[in-house]
Amino acid sequence: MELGKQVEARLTGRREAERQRRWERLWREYHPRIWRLTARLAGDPDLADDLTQEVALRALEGLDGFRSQSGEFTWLYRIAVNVVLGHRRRRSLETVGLDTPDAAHLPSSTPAPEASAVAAELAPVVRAALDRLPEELRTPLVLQVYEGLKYREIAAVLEIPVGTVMSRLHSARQRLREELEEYVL
Amino acid sequence: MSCEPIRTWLGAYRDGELSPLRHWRCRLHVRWCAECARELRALARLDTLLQAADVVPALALTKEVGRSRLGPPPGVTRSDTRSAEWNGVTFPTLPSSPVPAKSQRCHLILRTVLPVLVAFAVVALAFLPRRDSQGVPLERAVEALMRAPAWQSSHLVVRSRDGRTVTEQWVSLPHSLRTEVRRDGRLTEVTVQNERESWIYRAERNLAVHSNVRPYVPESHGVGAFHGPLNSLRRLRQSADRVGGVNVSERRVREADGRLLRVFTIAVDVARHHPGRELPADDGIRRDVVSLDARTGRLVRWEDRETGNRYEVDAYDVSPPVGTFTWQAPAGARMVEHGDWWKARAGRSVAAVENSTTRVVVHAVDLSAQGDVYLTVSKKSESGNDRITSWPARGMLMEDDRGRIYLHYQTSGMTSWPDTVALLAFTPLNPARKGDPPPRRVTVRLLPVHRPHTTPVDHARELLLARRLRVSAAATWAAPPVSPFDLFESPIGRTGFVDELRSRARRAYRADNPCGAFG
Repeated sequence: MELGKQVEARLTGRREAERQRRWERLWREYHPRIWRLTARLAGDPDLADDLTQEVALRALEGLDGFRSQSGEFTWLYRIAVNVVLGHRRRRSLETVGLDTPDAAHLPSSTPAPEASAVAAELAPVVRAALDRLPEELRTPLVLQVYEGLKYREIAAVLEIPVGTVMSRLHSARQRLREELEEYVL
Repeated sequence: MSCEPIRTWLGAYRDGELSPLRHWRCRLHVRWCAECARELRALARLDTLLQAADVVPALALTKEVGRSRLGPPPGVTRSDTRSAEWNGVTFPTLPSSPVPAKSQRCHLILRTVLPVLVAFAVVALAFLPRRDSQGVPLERAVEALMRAPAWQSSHLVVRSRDGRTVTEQWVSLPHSLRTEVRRDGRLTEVTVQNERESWIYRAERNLAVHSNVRPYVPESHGVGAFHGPLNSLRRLRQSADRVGGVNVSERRVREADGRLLRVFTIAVDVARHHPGRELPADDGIRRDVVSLDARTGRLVRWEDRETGNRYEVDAYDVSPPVGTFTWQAPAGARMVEHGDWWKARAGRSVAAVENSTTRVVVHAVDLSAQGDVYLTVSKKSESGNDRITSWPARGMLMEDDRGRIYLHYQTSGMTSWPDTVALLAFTPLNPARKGDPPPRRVTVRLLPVHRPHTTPVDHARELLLARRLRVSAAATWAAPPVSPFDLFESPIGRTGFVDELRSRARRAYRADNPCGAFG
């Protein structure tokens, strides 16, 4: 092989190895969070593995184009949100059932079976109400309530102003309050 | 101040996302405005419900998070966060006036803008985030907790503040659990569950219920229940950045058995972090002491100073004694068998009705002792969205053979049932009087799709009419015994809650149908 080609091949190999290392570090660090996010946005932990896989593929494809301006976390979250929303649209479901038996009990700091039994009844109702929210209200709420993101972070992930995040969260809570009136009051 | 803007800020106030000025205005307002304080409590309750309805199981969270590095997202730096605090602050606008001369303008600036700036600076200084998180950052405590490796079995002991109540619990994932509660050394409660059956015993009732239903999710109980506190610590870490009010200290302690523990004391100013919540009696500070095994990172002890409960994990992944997950009722205890509600009805079909998109099977029509009618239904639709959550929570109607109207007030289901099965509860519009003959047949207008924002015309297209369904003889139960807990008297304190649902259904129906027509 010509020297130039050898050098090129070695450089390509080195770049590829570096890319691979970068990818592994990134995915090792964020994989658990992305899994949780997809499970919560999809409303179904059973779907999370597949969706996380799709996020990984898209992120790997876009890794070369990613320049850390927006932050790895924001970038990956944005991909995950798009993957899940795309999935929900593809399934053309008005609502997605959220009743996952193993998650229906209220985590309690005391082993109180009675409280858990009540929550077992309420959890599907709450999930259904959450699921009936329009996507533009539901997604920021999931990011805030379950992922614990700050408004600024939500704004970065969804690419909307912070004020819009605040108003959407307000609307989402109002809607949920109306739907769950009997449980909230 | 008017409630209007405050109401729109309350969510952000709870999230600790308001600017210091708005935060202060909210805080002042809710102190004297009972309505807004109530709204704040409702938001707190809503948050609790949402947290409880998380679809990611507790253990999955612990496992997944345990593998990740927890910290602020790399894309958002501390300085970013600080600047965001000022987003949305509105400054008062000056009244319009003719343009004054230059000297007058300077004077005007001094007279108007300066006091505003000074006042703003004073307020900002008073309410700027106070970083009184001394000792170790909360981050380290949370991270240490969440790095604990996953477990398959655990043995937990919980002692109450006065030491008189002791709860002991064995958990073996995924299905088995045993909980025993002793008060002054006397056994008061037992719950045992394995993969096939369960027992619940309450000494005060001298009653034991055996069932083939598994009412517990062990990973959400005992040690698994620390999901709740872990989540709250995660949120606390974020709000502490803004409002301070958290003090974390860490020390290392060697146990008598030689184990080295990392002991975190977490003190939280409740007023700042949980606006609207009742303050702890003494100084308004909630203190938790969390002890972790320094080698494994696993939780060893959790002292909840607010409730006085002290949780101690005696062992992880140690085989429980043989026979832990089976049980024999004590001599003299009354033993009741709980039947599986769904299994008893799955093979039956009272009626099947369908339209162009949906087919609903009514498996049973049950009548309670107090006159409510319960329909056990399942459905199959074109959309494939047939889970219980796709039914409306209320709003359907029923009429019996004597023309009495019944109102749908609740849709429920059990997690152990297929997710396409729902239990629809109907209550008489006019409560049954003593001596009224029970209904023998009912006609019901089923609305199998929840569409809150469509018109009655749309609803009418989707209505399914199931005619003259035969009603079972009146049962002895007041509420359907779908869970083993329902066989205990006043199950779970839900009576008041269900009564309220019935009343609401009646009020809503009368508001829409003053003549009381079936329609």
